[in-house]
Amino acid sequence: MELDELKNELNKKFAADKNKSAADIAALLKKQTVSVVRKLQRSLWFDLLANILVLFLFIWQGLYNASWALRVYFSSFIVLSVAALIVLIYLIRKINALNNTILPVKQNLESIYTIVREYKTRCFQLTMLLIPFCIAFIFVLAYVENKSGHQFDDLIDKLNDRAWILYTAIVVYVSMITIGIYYFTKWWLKKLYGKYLDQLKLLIAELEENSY
Amino acid sequence: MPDEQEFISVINQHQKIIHKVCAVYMDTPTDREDLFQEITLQAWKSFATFRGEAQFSTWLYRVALNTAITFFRKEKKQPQIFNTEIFPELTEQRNTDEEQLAAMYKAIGELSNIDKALVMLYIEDYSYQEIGDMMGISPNNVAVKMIRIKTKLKDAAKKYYQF
Repeated sequence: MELDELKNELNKKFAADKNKSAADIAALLKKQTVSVVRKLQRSLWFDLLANILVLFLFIWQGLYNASWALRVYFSSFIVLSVAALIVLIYLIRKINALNNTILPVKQNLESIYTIVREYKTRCFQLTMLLIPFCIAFIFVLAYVENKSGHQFDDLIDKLNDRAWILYTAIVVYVSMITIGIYYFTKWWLKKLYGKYLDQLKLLIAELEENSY
Repeated sequence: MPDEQEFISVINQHQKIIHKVCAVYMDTPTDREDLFQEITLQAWKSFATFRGEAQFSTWLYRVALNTAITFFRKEKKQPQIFNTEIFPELTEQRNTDEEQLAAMYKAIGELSNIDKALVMLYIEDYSYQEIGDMMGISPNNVAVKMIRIKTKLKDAAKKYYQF
């Protein structure tokens, strides 16, 4: 039994489902898609809205926080949030353009794969980059603030002959935060996009395969 | 904004294509319904980009296959079930031709998503060049894959149909 012998019959069988009316088709157009691209679009829109909320919070803290150091800290993150907003808008536009263009199967898979992978990689890199930046920045600001206001002098005096306790606490705290964020970010991004990326990669590899 | 009525009318005329893709890629009526909806919506979103350079059926095949191939379900794949809607004759009396067809149908159901797409286009009588254009691979690659798929189908169909 060969595929060619059953070609026409199979073709008929595959089309056996009952036809839909024009009204059924019109009703379908009111619904939402559930594709990988749609999932990514929803993720990006969620990030965009979260970013806008955080931006307002930063502006508010940057203007009204009682501490000078925290005002500077939050104000600097306004710049970062605006930059992130621009990147997110760019990605949403790119995804929309891809979603409305019908490419050959392989090119379509490669485009989705590249965008999702890029997004996942950049999210991870940005998060990792922000950890040392935030920690270093907060220490510098605390040092500068203490120079002018001497808020931490009491604590430093108390620990004067046991400074190692302070240093150890700082090192343990920074290490735990760094390791925690590293593994959490990795796990979260893998949970969100890892499976899709693996499936897309397999499909692309299968299309590229050219042997018996 | 593309004309909704025009779109509904052309989809109505070509809906067999979507039904075929759904039948090849999905086992249950619910899944087929979901995929039908997804393909129709995807086609509607992209309809503005259809400029009539290719035949509408070819364009719709491209939309349908792109959608079906990347339509990943969250739940685990259910075991292949026998489709009594597509093969009602087999539930009543044994019929050799129908059994052969059913065996081949089941064998196609076991193929990978990419191989299913190639089989779909092949049984629609598209040339290797046209299949290559739709899939984004060379005609030679299509030819090689088709030889491999035919062998695979022949072997798999034997499992379900004994001569």
